[in-house]
Amino acid sequence: MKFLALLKKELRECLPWIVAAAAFLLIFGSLELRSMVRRDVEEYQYRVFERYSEVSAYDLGKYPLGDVGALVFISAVGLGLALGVRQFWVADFTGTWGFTLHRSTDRTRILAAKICAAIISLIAGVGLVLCYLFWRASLPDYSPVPPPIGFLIGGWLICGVGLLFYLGAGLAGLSKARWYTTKLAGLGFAVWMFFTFTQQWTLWWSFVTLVIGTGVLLYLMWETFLKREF
Amino acid sequence: MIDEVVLETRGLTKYYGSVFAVDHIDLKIPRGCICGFVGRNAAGKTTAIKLMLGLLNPTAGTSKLLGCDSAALTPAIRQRIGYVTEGHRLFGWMNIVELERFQRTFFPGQWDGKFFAEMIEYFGLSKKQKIKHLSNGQRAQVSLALALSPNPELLIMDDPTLGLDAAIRRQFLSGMIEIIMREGRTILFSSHILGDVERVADRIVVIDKGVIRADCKLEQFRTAVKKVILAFEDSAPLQVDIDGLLHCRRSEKELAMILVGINDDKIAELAKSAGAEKYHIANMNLEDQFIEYTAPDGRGKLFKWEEI
Repeated sequence: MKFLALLKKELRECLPWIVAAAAFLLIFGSLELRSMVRRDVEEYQYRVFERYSEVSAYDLGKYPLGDVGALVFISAVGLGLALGVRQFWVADFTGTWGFTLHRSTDRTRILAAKICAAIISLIAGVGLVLCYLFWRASLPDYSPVPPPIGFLIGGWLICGVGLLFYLGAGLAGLSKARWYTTKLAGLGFAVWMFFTFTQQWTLWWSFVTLVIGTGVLLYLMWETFLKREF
Repeated sequence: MIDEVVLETRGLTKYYGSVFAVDHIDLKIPRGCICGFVGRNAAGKTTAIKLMLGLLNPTAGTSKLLGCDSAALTPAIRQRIGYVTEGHRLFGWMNIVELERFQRTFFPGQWDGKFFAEMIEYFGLSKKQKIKHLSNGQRAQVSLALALSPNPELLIMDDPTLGLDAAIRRQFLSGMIEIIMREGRTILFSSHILGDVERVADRIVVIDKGVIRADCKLEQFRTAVKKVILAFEDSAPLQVDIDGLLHCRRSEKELAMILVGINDDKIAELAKSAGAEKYHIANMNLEDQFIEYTAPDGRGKLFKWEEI
């Protein structure tokens, strides 16, 4: 019950950002799908769909802003940053840590609720919208060839990039160092892992990169949160 | 059980870099006591309270609440402690109903919903109001209701009346008195409004520049700190040297002294030995006493209050 109460509170605080990210991806993603119909289908197939067995995060992200993959990148990264700032920077700024932390539960559970809320938010704000766009793109009206499943898997991995940025922003918010020293190190690491992620040529290696980056940031955030002074 | 200590600190110290915020605080607050924790701005009150609640890590020393080390307060112990934060920082997007629902989850079988509703009604608030739309005073009232409703054994409040007008402060203190009426409840509240302390506290802890300057019953403090004015026919002596002298101010024919722990007989003797023509003991309220006691020229002088 206590965890659920914490989770609910975190989700409610994240809700405006979930809605914003979902609306962004839905609107611009739908527009992009419409424009896809008018494009040279053959070229598109060559660039993405016919190479589906080798489709990578790089493929999904390297196209101009108009491409759905790039939109997923933008929404996931933006939502991740917004969640990190909302959960950790705003709590610091509004001085609600004392009220949040002094209750009959431990810090581990409070942090777990925050991270779970962030994961659910990324799934709801980006992942599910991506599924919807994938389904729409699979309809004959949009494309003569249904997009490969690699597109969807890659998109979900990009949601994971949102988690990377969430952890980076959160860690920066928890850090008490000055901004020009190590305060933004977590965020810097997230950016570095993001570029490493996009440079991988297979989804498998993108996944490995994501797991390593997320693992490192998660461990650092956990340690920082449990020991930090509020 | 009346002598059971619910809050104890030993050598509690906190440095921020090379600057100390609190310095070797030794406190023992017995059960059933209403303790006013007073000090000027930046005296170290909030830091000390946060250390006690385990929100800050001490540089040295230890602190125990209800027998449990502050650095490792268990959820079960936290459930027995109410805490009102400085500035009454609550979740602004919640309304009072949502906030109560959230808060009661953490006090299973302990939350008194009827009492909470009564408090909210007493303060004239609507449960539908969002916290962010409440004034500072109204937020203070909600904070108090939230802290009191689980009927905590120990209530710690960090400057709860800060920024409140006189009427709201009085209402707030009435709410505090509500809990005082409950047997065995202990309250520690920091404040720099001495009128509030005088109204409800039975014990006073004075902190000044991170150092505990007094820890005694309120009545002890009231009777111990005195302002004595010696009047001389000729010019007043440049200085007098007596035990318990905190500081003195000299004018042409008068010497105004702040004395600590000196009884009236000794004051009469002092006046006589100093060659004063006459003397009188000035009336001081708690605020005057506090201001004189923590005046910069009296710093560094410590008195053992327990022995007074």
